[in-house]
Amino acid sequence: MAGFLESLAGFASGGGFSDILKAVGTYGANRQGIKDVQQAGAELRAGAETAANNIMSQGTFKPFTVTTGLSTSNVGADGGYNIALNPQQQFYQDELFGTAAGMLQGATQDQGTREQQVFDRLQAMLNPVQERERLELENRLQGQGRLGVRTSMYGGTPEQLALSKAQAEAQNMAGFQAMQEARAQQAQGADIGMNLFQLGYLPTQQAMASLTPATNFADISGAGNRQAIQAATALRQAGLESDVGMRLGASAAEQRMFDSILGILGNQINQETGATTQTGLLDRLIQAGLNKVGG
Amino acid sequence: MAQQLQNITIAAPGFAGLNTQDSPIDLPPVFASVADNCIIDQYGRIGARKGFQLVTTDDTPLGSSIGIEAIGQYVTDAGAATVFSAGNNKIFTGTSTLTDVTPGSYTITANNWKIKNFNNKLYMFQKGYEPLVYNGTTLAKMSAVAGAAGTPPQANEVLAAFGRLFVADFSADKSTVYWSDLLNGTVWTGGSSGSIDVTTVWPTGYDEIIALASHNGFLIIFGKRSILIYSGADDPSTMVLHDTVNGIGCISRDSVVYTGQDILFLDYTGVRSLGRTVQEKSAPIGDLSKNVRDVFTAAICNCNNIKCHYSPEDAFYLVNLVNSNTIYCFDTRRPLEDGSLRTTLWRGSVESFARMNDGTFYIGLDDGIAQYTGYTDNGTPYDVSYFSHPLTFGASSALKMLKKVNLTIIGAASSTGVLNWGYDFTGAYSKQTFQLAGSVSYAEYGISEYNTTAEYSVSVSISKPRINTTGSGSAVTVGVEVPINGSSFSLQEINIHALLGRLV
Repeated sequence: MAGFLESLAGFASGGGFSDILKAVGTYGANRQGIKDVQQAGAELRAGAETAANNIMSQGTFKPFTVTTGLSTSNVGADGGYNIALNPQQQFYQDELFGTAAGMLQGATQDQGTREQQVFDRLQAMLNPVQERERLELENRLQGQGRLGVRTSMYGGTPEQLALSKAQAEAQNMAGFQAMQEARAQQAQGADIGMNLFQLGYLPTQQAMASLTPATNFADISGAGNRQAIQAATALRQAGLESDVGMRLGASAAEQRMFDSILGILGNQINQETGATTQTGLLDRLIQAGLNKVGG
Repeated sequence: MAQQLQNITIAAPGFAGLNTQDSPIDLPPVFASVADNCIIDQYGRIGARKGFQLVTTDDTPLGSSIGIEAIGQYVTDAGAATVFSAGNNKIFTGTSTLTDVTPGSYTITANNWKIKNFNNKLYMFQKGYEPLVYNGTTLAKMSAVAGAAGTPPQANEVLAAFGRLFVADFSADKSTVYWSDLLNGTVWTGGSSGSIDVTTVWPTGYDEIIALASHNGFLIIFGKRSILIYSGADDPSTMVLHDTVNGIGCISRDSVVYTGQDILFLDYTGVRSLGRTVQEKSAPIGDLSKNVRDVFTAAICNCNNIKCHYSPEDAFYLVNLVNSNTIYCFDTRRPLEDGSLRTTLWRGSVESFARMNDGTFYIGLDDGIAQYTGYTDNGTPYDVSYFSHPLTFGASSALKMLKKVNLTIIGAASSTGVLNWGYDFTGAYSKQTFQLAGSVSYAEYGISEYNTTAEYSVSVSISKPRINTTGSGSAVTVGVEVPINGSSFSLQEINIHALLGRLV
């Protein structure tokens, strides 16, 4: 104990306590200031945020409805919109889409099925003529007493063969025409379907078109909203910058504080010559301790 | 007071043939009421038919059957001929010797064959039987012939015409005519073969095909009650109905014969001529057998087996009613003024007829094949009968007393004839035999008779028997019956010496 106090007396006589008080005082004096700066930065940021929020709330987009003779369009707060056509327009649209669907379905129908349908219709047109020809030939053969003729060369009579041949050729031609017609109808159906499909969107498009003027008007409030957003953004940016600036200042002050403290605590060195111009507190404490130990 | 005999001459008695249709009182004496085993000879006189000389020497192959029921001839392109016949459910070749050529494993139960030559082959058709084909060497079933195609038609009727075989009349099909390929009677499918169903063509609405014929480029289809005539049958696929006849048809497949100018056939109403039938459309004047119509139609309606034959050499059309042993002979040399044919009657059991390529007339008998030649039935005499209709000589109410009948008879040498006479439509005749002149050795020109018995007589045997008659009546019927035994017979003239008495 007596040694420690001697050391301590020696530390104190060497100016150690004044250095300690200087260090503590430096810390105490700077620390509060640093806190105040940090606090100010935070408050500035919070204030900017609050102001921005206020501005945002005032500039928030407000839903609106556009009603015309064709439709009613509702624009929601989230920017979404709902277009409801009036019953007549809806009916037209449904009809157009329905017909378009039918046409497209037909256009995408199996080619063979379509060809068969066309062929059946062509045959239905040809059948009465062919039946008349057959009956005329039958009557003629009956008048000639040849109705019951069957031959290995012709099947029946040469006239019956010729008629069958002609009718078969007509059938073949009808089949070929059916193929061509089916393809043409398919392409036409596709075109019509597409056109109808596009027409089907017309009521909606017109309804949407009716939104354009409303959108322009709504854009006014939208502009305010955008301005609010800009202002809020600027505020937030300013607040942020302030906060950052304050923090940077506080950090610099803190740094200076610690430099001072360290200066007190540490040796002062001539930057040019590197010679120690003043022994620091820590060295002195350490030297005191060493002296004690050395006795 | 004595009266002068009157002579009533019946020149060429019965030369108009039988007439069983008209009233006998009004009939001229040229018609006969009976003309058995008679023909109308080339001079227009009623005479005896020829005999049936048996050619077959051994009838063993015929067994106990009814004999030869079908005869035909196969003639090659070179002219070689083979006679085919059918009987006892077999097929034979030859005439004097019947050689069985029935194909093996081929069962026959009937002999109603229709035999045709076509393109160097012989074809035999019968309903319900596969046709047989003879190629000059072998008789075989049609399906066994090389190159045969299609189902052999089991038809009852066959016609070789227009380069094809036409067949008809099946067991289950009475309305369809089938034709073979061109020049090939064994091909019935493919090629130019074909068929025609005439069900919708019959003018009567329904009929059954009985026979086929070809004439003047036409195909004739005979039904039972109607006739169809097709033109352009050289190409059957395009042949056209040319004409139809309603109400007249053909009742027997074998009754259709060709006379060169016409076709004769048998209808329910009698013998018909196709030419006149088409022209007159079944008018009554087209009936060739009108003089015996009722008796004849009754006979053919009751007969289910009729065989017919036409002989251009003898100029007659024979209608054999097989089951009744009766043959109607229609003379085609000179028809009567009304277009009908002169008719006589034959008695005999004949099964079939056939004319060979050389004109030989064969007859199918129960003991083989016979030839129509000579004047005995295989050595057996046969009787010729002639009876007139009741004659009134223009005085139907006056009594006639026959005193003498003078006959002029040609032929029948050495035969003993019988004169029959009766009065007032009686069937109980008075009879008197008479002797005909003996046989004559005919004079021969250009034959050396040195140191032999020369002949100086005329060429024919003429007899003029004079027979005294008795009795009296208002209508007189005379008849002559003469046995034919090796020589011909013709009745040239009948002179009746009679007294015309009081009116009764």
